[in-house]
Amino acid sequence: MSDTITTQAACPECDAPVGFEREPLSGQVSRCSDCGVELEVTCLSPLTLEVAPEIEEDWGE
Amino acid sequence: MTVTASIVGGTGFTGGELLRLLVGHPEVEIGQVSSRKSAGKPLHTSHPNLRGHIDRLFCVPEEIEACDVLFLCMPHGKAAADIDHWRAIGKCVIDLSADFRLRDPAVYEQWYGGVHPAPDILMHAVYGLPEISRDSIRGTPLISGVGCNATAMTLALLPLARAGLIERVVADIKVGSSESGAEPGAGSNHAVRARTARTYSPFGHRHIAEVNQSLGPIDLDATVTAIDMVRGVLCTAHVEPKEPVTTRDLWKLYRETYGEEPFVRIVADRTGPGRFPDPRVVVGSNHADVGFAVDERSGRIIALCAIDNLVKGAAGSAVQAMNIALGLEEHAGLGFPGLHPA
Repeated sequence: MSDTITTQAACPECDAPVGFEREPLSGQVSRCSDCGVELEVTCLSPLTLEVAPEIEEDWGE
Repeated sequence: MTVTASIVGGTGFTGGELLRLLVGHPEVEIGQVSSRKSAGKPLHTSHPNLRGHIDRLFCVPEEIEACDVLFLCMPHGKAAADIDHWRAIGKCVIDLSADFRLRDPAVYEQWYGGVHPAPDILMHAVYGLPEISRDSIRGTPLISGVGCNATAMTLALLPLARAGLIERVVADIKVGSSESGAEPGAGSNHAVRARTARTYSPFGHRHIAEVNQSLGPIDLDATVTAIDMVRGVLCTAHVEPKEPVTTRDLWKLYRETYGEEPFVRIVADRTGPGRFPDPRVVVGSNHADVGFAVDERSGRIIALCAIDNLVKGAAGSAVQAMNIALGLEEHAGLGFPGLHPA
């Protein structure tokens, strides 16, 4: 097993690859470019992303 | 490689949209454009947006000469009646009416209420929706245009149909006023049409036959409603699946189907006002935006597709099919990304 930090992980919402240009930090927030969900880095090894809590809005309805 | 393209019936909305796309096409030279009622008048009298882009007069249909591609933009039933004549003029004929969309003459008769004028030709026409029949379009001399509502339904449902997931589906379709064409009717004058939300086909729309031909015998019905929009179709299909699915499952299916498609975009964001397909976003473009959601409570899949009815739902698909048929770049002449805000 390597301790190297992976700079790409799967989006937990849509399974798209989510990459980081630099080594991610724990708690860092990113966004999936496919489904647009906001993601939080919850673990660095292995790199794990979870859907970040949302602020509910009505989006115009 | 430059190909000459002419248009029969060029005063309508689809003829105008074809001209708009073809004047910007890098490998097309526009030949003749016919209109019996507007013969001798400049094209911009019918299509004012083209003033300064093309200096040409409408001719009568009898003056149309041999060309590489002949687009037929006549009312339903007219193209089939003279199809042998048109095929002798155009090396590749693309008919934008409904005349050659259905391969089975009996199905045509059932949905269009009359005997097909050229039933022997039906089997030779290739349905012109590249996402369904790209390989068959290559090199073919006769291409059928697509129905706009059918295109929206087909593209919304294609990944689910291919996966055999559809138990039953009802498509709610909202359409703009340009679907009814350039000729005025009782339902299209401004006082009646503006600010409407009028269901005009609660069930049994003709385009269901087209969708079934493309997707197979799925249990499908559709309700079509005219809304206050000039261009656009939004299909919201309510699918009862054969087995439970998750959002991740749908992402996988839609990516598998559309990952390589140049004009289909998956729009299924989790948040934001643009999280699902919206016809306004694709106005003027050949894009089809598809999206989906799963109701975890009921298991229902909501499959969506937004197109511009005049582009992806008519002239844009026809140009895309022409490009494929003639071996041109598939996206040639179709690079316009749409407007925002529109």
